[in-house]
Amino acid sequence: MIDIKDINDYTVTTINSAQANLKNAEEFKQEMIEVIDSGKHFVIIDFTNVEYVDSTFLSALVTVLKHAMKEKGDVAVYGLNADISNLFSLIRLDKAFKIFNSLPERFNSGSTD
Amino acid sequence: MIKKAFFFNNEEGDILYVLRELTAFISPHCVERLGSSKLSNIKNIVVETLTNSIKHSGVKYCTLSCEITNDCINIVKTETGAPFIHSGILRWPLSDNLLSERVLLYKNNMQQLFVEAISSNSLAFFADDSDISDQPLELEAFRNFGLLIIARCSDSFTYTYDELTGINTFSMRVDL
Repeated sequence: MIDIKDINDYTVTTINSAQANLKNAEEFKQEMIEVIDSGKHFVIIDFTNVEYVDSTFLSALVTVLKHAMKEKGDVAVYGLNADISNLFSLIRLDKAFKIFNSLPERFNSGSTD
Repeated sequence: MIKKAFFFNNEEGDILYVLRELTAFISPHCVERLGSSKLSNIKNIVVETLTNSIKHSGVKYCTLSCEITNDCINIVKTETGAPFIHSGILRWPLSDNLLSERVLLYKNNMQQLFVEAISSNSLAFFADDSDISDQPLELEAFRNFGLLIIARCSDSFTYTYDELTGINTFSMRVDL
């Protein structure tokens, strides 16, 4: 359910669904963990296509972040609509995830290249 | 006062349909008074309420109603599925010693969710902030927080279980 694209020192995974909910949360989590386990430890998740997110999907998102952190990586989000952005700040997920309004030049701050 | 009911067949793929229908109903009547953040809150309430129904009710459908008054928007979900319980703490009818006593349902290092009996068959949910500091969010505790989302998005959030009819009623109010 995600498209994968490498940009500079990070990877962008684009969610290909308008609904990020309990139906596709597990699939999303498994695909993201595969991305991280393949060595892509700095990932920005593109929510541009997503209309709403439910708590089950957010739990999966947190699991993905924890997995990346174990690998000394990081996960950020990009392209949140106003409703999802409001939800992130309401439940303090903005304290856990970096939120980008546009894709950055670089994301891996520890990169030496 | 205007009101509209929405039928939901407890299928994940139909959440978006109900969400769009409800938004289309609300928007012409009060979107200017509501403001964008409260409209977002209502949408998030709808998503989590329907998700809760799919995950916990065990029945094939629920009804969501939306009522717009001069002062507020009321979202009410009714179904006849399993009553709300929490780790054996809550049994129906609720005992008197739960009245006016807040029971902690969920906690992370930034926020917590309490429930309080307001009658023998009704509960009220309350969310508040824990000590907000510069510490990162405690990720280990971050699960099963759908009710927290509803509580944070609502000005009032109550649940009633009618033992005679088996009807569960979740009521959320967002003030205009």
